[in-house]
Amino acid sequence: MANRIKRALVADDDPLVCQIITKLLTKNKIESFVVESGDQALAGLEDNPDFDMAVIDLVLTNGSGWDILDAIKKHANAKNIYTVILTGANISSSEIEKLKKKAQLVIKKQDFTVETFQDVLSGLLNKKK
Amino acid sequence: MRLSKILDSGTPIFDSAPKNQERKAVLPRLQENPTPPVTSFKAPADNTDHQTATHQAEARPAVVYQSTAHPIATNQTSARQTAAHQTAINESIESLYNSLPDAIYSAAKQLEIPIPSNKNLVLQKAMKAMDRIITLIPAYDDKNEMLSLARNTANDLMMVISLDSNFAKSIRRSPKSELAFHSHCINTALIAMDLAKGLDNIECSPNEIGMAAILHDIGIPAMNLDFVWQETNDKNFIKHVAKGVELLTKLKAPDIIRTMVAQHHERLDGTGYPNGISGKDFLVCSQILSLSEGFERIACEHHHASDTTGSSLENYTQKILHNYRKAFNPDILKAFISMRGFYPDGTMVELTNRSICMVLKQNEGFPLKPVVQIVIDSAGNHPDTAKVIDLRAANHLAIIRIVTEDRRQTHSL
Repeated sequence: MANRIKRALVADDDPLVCQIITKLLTKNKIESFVVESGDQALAGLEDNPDFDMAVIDLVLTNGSGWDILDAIKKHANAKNIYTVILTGANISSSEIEKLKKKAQLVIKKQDFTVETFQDVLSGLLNKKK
Repeated sequence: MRLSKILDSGTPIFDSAPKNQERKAVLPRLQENPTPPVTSFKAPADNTDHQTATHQAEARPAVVYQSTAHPIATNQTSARQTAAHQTAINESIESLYNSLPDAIYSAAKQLEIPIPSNKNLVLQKAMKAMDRIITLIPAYDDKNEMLSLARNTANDLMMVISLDSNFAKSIRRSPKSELAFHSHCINTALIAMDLAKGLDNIECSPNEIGMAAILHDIGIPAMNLDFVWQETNDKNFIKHVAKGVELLTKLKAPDIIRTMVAQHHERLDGTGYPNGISGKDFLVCSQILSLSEGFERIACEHHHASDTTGSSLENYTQKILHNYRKAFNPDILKAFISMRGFYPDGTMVELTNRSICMVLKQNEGFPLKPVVQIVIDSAGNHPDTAKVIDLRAANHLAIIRIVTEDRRQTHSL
């Protein structure tokens, strides 16, 4: 059986960030499902929860990244999504601890590099072959 | 003449950055790749084979990537961030760009994703912002429009610098005397942010330094003083520092911004004004602003003199070293010279083979080895075709001295 195309939810209200993530996902043959607000992400998850990955900004309109993480955890068919928080917000250490319990990876936008994110994607793809 | 009229008349405000720095429009390339598709929320989801979706993502500990270069997690920073956030809520003037971290712009650049980077638009907007800031000075503005203008202007300028650092290296003051003040503040912001982004252990972000640079001399128009080309020790002029801080205090500007403005004429050896502080009291971010402000004056005064009197070329980078060698932290000066080059673009230099060359551009990190073009070869002839030498690669050649205009005339004869 041929492997289906991997799918990723990208939730960020900045078009440039979405373009960067989308381009890297596309290079790795991962389909992008791009939303710019919390409610769009939640609706997308409800419609098609079979994402392999979610790249989520914390600060969004109409719902936050935290809401999306909670929805992923609660959704029976979505809880295995590999979640990456990509945030430019100044998060406290306590918030980071909370994020660690809900997401597999936290990347600060200040420290984002193409190479780092490519490594994440490569690791994800190799693990799921 | 009001700025709007000058802008509408098409008068060039700045020399544009090198023309070969235009970004490639590569979005079509992204769209040429049809698979896998990018699905927007409104588009129907792609129905792929769901039967294979049986993978189990391992619940492994989260990894947090954090920079350790900037020790910013302090209570003071938190207070500043809170104030900045509050101000951001009140923003009435939108930035041309969202203030994303540099890393995102670098990634976009690496992936050849086009970003709107109309430099002239940014500069025109910055000039208008300066004009508006000056207009706002007499009236206390409880909406903090002045701070918003300064912040957004700094963000926009930083955005362009992150795409093209040459943008900050081709500074020039407006030939219009009434816009010299505007140019000075914008140029200082460009120089300071360009320098700050390459340094560690600064008390604040490059954008905050840029914001302070935009506002650093607002005491001058606030006191109705004429903006002058040279630093002056005139007692009345010195008061512009305190006046600027007073204004920023009324506006509830963040502490770090006020501190930088208060220290922008200080020197590490205590010879600055108004307080003659020295040592650790002179913050790194303030030193960056102060050095940039001084360099802008020296460099633009040089351009101004050359344009109006045709006086001989002068190495203003060396002048910085001469004037400021004890005034700033050596590491900052070293970074500055490394970034700017020891021989500014356009300088005529003599090489070890006796050829006379003009400096074309800098090799960052190699301040003594710029790229040069031969004007008079070692045999005393003008080359028939343009010959460019990258001194970083030409180990057998080095610059031995700067050639003055008199020297060039001698060679020409």
